[in-house]
Amino acid sequence: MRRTLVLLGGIGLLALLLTPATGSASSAARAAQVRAQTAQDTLDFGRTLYQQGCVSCHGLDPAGPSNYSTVPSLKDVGGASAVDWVLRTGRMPWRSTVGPAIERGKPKYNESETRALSLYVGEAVGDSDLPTVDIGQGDVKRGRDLYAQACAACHGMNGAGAALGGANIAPSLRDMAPLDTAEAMRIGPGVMPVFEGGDYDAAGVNSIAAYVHSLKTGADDVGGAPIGGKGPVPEGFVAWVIGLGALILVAKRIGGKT
Amino acid sequence: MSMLERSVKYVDERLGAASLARKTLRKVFPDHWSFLLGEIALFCLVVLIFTGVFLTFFYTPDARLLTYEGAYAPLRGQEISAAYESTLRLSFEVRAGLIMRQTHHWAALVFVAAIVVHLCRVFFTGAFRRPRELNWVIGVVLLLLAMAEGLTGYSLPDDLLSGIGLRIVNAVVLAIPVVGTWIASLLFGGEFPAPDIIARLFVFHVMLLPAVLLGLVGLHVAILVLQKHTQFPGPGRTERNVVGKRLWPEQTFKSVGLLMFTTAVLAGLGGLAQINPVWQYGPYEPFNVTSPAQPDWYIGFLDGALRLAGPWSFQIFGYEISELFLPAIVVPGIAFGIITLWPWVERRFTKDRAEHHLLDRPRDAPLRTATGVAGLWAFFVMFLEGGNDIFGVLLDVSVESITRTLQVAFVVGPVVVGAATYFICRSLKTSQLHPAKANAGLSLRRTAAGGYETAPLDPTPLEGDGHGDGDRSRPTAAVPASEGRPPAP
Amino acid sequence: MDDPQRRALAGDGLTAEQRRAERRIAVGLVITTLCGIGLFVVYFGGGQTQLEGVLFAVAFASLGYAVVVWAEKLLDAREVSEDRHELTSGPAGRQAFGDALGEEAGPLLRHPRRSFLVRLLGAAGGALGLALFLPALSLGPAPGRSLFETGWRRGKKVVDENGRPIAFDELPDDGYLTVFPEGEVGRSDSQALLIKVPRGSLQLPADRLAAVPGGTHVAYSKICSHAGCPVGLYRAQTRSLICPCHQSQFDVLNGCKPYFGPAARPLPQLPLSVDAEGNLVAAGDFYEPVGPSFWNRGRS
Repeated sequence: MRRTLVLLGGIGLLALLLTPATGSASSAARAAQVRAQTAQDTLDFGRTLYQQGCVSCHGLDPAGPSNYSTVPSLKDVGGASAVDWVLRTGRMPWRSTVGPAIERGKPKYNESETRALSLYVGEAVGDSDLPTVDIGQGDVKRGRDLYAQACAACHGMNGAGAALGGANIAPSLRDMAPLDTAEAMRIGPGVMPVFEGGDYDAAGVNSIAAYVHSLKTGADDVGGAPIGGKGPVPEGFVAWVIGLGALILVAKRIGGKT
Repeated sequence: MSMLERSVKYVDERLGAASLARKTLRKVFPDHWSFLLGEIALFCLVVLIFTGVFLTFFYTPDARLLTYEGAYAPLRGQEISAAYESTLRLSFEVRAGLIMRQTHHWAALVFVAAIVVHLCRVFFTGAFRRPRELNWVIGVVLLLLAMAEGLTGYSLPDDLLSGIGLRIVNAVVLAIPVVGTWIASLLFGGEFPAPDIIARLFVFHVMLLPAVLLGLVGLHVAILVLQKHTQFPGPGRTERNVVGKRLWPEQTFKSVGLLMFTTAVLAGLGGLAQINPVWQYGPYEPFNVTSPAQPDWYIGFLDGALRLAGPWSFQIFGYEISELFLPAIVVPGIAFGIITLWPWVERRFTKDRAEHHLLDRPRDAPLRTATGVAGLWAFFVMFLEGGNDIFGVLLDVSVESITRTLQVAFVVGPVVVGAATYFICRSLKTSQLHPAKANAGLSLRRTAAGGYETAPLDPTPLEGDGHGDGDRSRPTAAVPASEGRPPAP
Repeated sequence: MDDPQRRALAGDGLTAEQRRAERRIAVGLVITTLCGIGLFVVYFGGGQTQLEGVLFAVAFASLGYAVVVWAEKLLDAREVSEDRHELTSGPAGRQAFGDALGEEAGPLLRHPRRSFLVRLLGAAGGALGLALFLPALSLGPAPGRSLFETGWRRGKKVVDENGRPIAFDELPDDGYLTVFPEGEVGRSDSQALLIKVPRGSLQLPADRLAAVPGGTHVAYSKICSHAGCPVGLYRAQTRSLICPCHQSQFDVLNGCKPYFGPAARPLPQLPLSVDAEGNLVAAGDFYEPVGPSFWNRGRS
């Protein structure tokens, strides 16, 4: 009797193990179980990284207060999108001891580490949404129009960036990945406002990202060297130093000296 | 008879031109390089006219809206003005259009710069003194006309950046007390952004201002030829002669050479350095703005003045004096008023009513030079403030600190810089040293015993004492004690 | 005999230096010619701005070089002195001028009837001269009320740049949007900024606060009170608006009062309310005339 039970149990187990995933309920449950396991691994990995690299400034609990008054709590900076953005652009971990953490840099964490940290913090603060962007779906023309309405005032129509009073600046957008654009609009990093909903839905974001991406190539600098792209001030400098400067040198060579 | 001889005979028999031509060709012009600065400006004007006429054939001064279907993809389907569309078409679809447009714009920037440098040369050498006061006034008017030409010109494409500039012009006109609102409405054709303004600016830029400008340039040169050019003092040079080379052939060749080089520099900039990329700014929409936002450099000092001023607005019996009134109307008005009337301002202090054809070195008129440097400092501070946001990003400091620093520099700086210049001039006049060449400081000499001792100063005196008598026999030690002491060891 | 004559007798009449100069001039002119031909090639090849610039620059510079070398080395120019003539005609000359003026014209002003006529002439000239300027008044309309009124009226829906009405719950926290009255999208004097701030953060007097739906959605004119530029830069963290033209900064939470820069007056507030469908509507025109200051602004 015992041997029969064992045999049946073994066949049953074997059947279970060898049955292909045709039964959806059971395989979905399995898949979910696998995902949950992976997700939990990711979150654990993220927590480990957080405790190694972020706790000293941001505090043990991401959703709680930070350790310094000058460091914002991660509670309402924009959740997983924000973490993804600062890590991918190398703005965090913070390197400089003065000034706002606005400088781009070499990212410290690789893709899976970044993802783990983002999801961990996102789960802790209750905002795990990571935006997706597809500039192929975007319309550069509409993007230019939306950009002129929303972004040009601070970042300049050609994305060269500008000062914002205080010691703030709106950085140059001429070297942005499309995901950077999408995340920044959703987060409103630093002093930047949030651009979400209404015209800034998925299609709007795709279009704006497409326009910002077009600034990267510099293909519409057909007139020659863009001289920083900051308008008449550097142009005036070039006119005086190079233009008039060269001509004064010519005059000194041609004319007399007495 | 050769072809040339036949042509000369033909013209001379009808116009009697040969003797006038002979006199003109033999005219003598002094040779110093700083006398070529006005020519640089003139040749920039030549390039401006040549390129400008070309642009006029392609530009449409019309603010009516149409849908863009041209070569610049990001703007396709947008509603833009015909003026903006014609500028885009010229830049992208007309062969040689972009280089003509950019050369025109670079020429405008260098034109005004050359006028300013030429004005400084005339000022610091005292060439505006009798009998040249009238030519000085004409010159200052030419500077203002050049600035107006530039402002009207860069506003024609109706792009976002220049449209913002026009908005500020409108606000400045509104700030004129009593009649400001009327003048603004008449000038623009209504409340801003009245679309008529583009066509009107075109009329100013292509017809009215060039007519006056060219007329005054002609008068400016004619007076110069009539009165003969001034000259620096030196051997053989007196108040009653002019020493130099003849118009033909030497000065003609040199001027032609300078014209060639001017065109070369401007064309080089026009092809290699992008300027005013209006397609990137987009069309003017009154509710859009871009950053940074400045006008072309020669209007930049006004922009800087507006940034430099504080929120000083007044009320008089319920009427408002705008905070723009002081920085945009009063300060430039006083500044250019003093500049225009300088020959008479200086005469009030020096009581000098004599004719002068020999130039001063800057040190010979310490008060004039000090005032000029103080004025240049004030203008320079205004220019810097005009770019305060750009410098803030460059130097990594806040816009507020730049503004506060420059506010102090504007008030205190001219006094400090002027005083320093005055004393430097006095010292240079006494010591007769060249400011850049001679060693005016301490000189150490090693003794045979191994120690050091100060060597006596050995200044290199300049030729003469600067007033044309060419007398080099007077030793430098004979400088009267009342003039000051030699540079202290 | 002097140097030029001696030189002329020795061979082809030129010094070694001059022959070198001739070669340099020739090289310069050849370069110019080649660049000129190059320009033909570039133009008929479709044109290219940078190439055109380089070729023009080199062509002209090379020609200029050739001309200057010619001037310096091949000309026999000497420094000469020319006497200045007296500029004045002298008292005799001026007297002759005065005589010529008055010779046949008779006494202009001294005769009493004539001077009276001249005065009449002045009045006529003045009236007619001024009248010649009358057509200039047709250049534009009287300013009238245009500077005091915008397109906003009580009940007008608040719409974005595409004409879409804005619902009360639409803006995200710290969001801001450029808005217009319905039917007047793009009208310059009506441009306004709609900003969502945290509830309770606005420091406004009670009557102004009542015009802020929910205490969160506040609207101000986008036209800078300094020189009229759109105040488009919003620093969400400090809730301040910055105008890029002259760097004035306005405190959104405090009635958009300027706290730095040359602007002297706050941005006018637009009173809002919510209609039955949950859309934002204006509760009237701005509280003050928008835009830069002008003479009679305080006397509407």
